Amino acid sequence: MIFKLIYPKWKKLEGQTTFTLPPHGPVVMAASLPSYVDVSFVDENVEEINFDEDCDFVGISMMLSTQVKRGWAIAEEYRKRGIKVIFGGISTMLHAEETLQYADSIFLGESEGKMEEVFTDFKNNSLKKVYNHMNNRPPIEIVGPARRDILKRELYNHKGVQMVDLFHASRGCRFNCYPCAVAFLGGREFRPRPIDKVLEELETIENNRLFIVDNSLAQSTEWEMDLFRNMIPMKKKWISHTIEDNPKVLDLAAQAGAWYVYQAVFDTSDYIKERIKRYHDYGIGVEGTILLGLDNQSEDDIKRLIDFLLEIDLDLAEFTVLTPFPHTKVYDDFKRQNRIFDTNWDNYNADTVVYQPAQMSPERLHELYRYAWDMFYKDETQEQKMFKLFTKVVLREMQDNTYKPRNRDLANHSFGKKVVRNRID
Amino acid sequence: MKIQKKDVDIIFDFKGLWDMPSKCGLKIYHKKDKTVVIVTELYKENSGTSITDVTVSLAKQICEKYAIEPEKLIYIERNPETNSKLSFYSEKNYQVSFDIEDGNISNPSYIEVSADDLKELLD
Repeated sequence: MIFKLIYPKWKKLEGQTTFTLPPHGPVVMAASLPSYVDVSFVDENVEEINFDEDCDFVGISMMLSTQVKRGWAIAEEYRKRGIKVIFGGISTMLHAEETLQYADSIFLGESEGKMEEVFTDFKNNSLKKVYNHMNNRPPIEIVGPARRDILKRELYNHKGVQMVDLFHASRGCRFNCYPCAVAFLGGREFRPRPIDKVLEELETIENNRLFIVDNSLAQSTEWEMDLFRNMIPMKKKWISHTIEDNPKVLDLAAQAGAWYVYQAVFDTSDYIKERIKRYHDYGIGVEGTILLGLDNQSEDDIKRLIDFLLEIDLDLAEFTVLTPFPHTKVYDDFKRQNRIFDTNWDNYNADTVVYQPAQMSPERLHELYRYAWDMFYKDETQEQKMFKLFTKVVLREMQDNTYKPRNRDLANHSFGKKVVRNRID
Repeated sequence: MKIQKKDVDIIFDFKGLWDMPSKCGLKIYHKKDKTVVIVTELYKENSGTSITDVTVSLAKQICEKYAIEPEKLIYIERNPETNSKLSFYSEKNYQVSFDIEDGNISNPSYIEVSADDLKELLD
């Protein structure tokens, strides 16, 4: 049986250098498919969908709200051809009721141990409209290595440089941050994978550079330290979200190959300044993630925050505007206050203002958002700053003999497309 | 003789979105010609759906369980004070109005109410 698994395209953030990373959700889901299912994977961000290619059943995996409308359109094309379509993934859970209108079936929750039922029902022509496993999460121990073999590796390559592989060591999040839907999606219980399972999966990844996509590694000191301690011999280099602010943890993280972390910068306090410095003291780079448009931010606060970012020596910064994603507290608050004026999910890309900010107009917030990008990168472009970070990792790899030169065969390609070079002869 | 219903002050277990087991604080005050229901968000203590994500369903579940006539319902959603540094987690109360037809609750709309307004509702 051929199961065509599709990852819909979306419009990338304006102003941000576009790098297309291999997706994580589809490869994790593919690992839970019954053995008789052949997967044909298409990531529409790097290749076109051939709607007329043979397949028996279509799965649409969606991570972002900005993918849902495209996902629905893809489903319509296949259903017109008489092929059944099932949806899954994070944004299927966030937009389940609407997605149902475009689907033969939707799957809610985590797929491990649940796919046999779905495919048996499909074969028996008795597919259920909803497979609801939101409240029936699999034991974390059964989460095995993802099926990265379904990816077309050469499409996630920029001029010979392979993009990082995505990987997860835990699920769930005990924090329940204001703009975040993770608590709804993965539960508020932190579920770390057993270290031996994590190592088993890491062994399967040829790529030396990873992005550990866990919501926050800083949820269990003991597990986090154990993880890093065990990763040291692997000599991987990796990006992650926040690491615990503890000298012992940071030291182990650095030894385990921490390349740079995403760190939320929400105010101009000494705490933030010192936090960034501590990462740097251990040789770990920092990409600040800065959310603009919170109710407590005035125009002056935002300008002060941008000045502050330039002072604290961040390696990179990513700006987003507050976006009230469904099933978050911010969504609840704005819904009650009748402040959401745009429910076109294509605009829920975190660079479009879809709500009435408390202290300025939506237009002014968007201007400040553009100003933030421009000011932060005024002296050194994003590409230049990224190149500096890239150089750091290459030097570290050279020191520990893990450096792999770029693939010269792909030197004239970027994410599957030919690069046109302007040569002066 | 009409028996006065007892007031309620409990942690209420309810079915959240997609039947997710969920919890909220629940206070019910039976007044002469109205029943004031205050549902409180529990944040970390609630592993399920927020009270606002399922406003209508939660109000129905409470009315059914405690035999409250929707026409007499005064429904308050409360975000409790969490002593957080973030202002979004300070106490807020919203009175929720519903369309009620043949005892059926739908179409919630929210108005923030001050502590004084709330006190007045409870008097």
